[in-house]
Amino acid sequence: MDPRQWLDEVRDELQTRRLPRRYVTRLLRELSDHVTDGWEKTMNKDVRVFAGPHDQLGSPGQIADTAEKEFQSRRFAARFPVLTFGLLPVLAFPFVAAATWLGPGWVIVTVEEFVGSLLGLQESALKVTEGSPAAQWILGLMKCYTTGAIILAAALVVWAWSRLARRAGVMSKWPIASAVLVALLAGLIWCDATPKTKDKQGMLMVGLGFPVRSWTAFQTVQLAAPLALGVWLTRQRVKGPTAPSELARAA
Amino acid sequence: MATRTSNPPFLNGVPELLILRLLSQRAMYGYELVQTIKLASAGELEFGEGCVYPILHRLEGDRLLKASEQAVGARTRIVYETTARGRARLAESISTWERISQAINHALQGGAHGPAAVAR
Repeated sequence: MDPRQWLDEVRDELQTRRLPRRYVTRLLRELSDHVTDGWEKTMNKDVRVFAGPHDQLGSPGQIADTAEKEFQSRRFAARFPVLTFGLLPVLAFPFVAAATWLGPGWVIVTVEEFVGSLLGLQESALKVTEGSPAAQWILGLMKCYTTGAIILAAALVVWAWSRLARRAGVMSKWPIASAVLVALLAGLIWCDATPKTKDKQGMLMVGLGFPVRSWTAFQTVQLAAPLALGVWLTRQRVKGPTAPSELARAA
Repeated sequence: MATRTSNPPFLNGVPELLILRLLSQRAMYGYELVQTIKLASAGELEFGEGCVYPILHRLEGDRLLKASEQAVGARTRIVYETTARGRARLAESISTWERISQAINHALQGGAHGPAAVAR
């Protein structure tokens, strides 16, 4: 095989595996040097005849496989999977959940106050009469909002750790384990709300625990959604894009 | 097209051991290292020569090796040498290898106590 064509195939294989550009450039430079050395030594008849880059250095797929494996083994996630997939998502989830819950909530309240001041309203539009249909609606909306924020946070964490697992090349059990942990945590979160009335302040309570309160449909969704996402992402990863070398082997 | 044979997977870790050993003796660039491995192993170790570079990069990332650009003849090459940490790892790896090879030899020779009796 022509050395240039062989190096192009190696580059394609390495790019399929999403290795950093700097790493690929360095590896290609050294492989190119190696091929040149092989030809030069053959010309000088110092060593046995250089059999060509494919036979001497290995197939592009073989080199890319080794490069991917060696590169991934250097990652923190591959070295400490229990810490990375067992502990870190559990620690990250509360922070992400706080951000997804408080962030949009703050925006909604600020916008409502701003619009109210523009319209010259004396009282907040979110204030309702206790027991009224509007109060029931706001109560439901607040619970839905909290559930949505929790699901969004759990989905973000599951997605991020699934991506991390893919990049680190760890076994599928690790992203699944982190998805299970995050789903359990999300499922254990309950919320209760009291709408704002003319007499008293509104309240939105969020807690963690079981069986402090009876299990709700909201909690079932909070548990099932991230779990389903984790399983789906892992299945997608197993199917994954096929590398050129695998296509060649199949052909 | 000829397919190169490779040694079986139980030789995992052997390239690392050989690389550290040879580079602890003197600094070498990739091609030179591969030829030295072939000579040192009397051609018994067969591998795709290109696979040596990812291993070198990993060892460099683990700070067991140090790479530097050096003019060798008319060209500039990346030359590798072991670090103090690499030499410490080499001593550890040699000790492990000796223990394992002794244990395997012992097992292949039937062990000191003959075949194990199965308790009933």
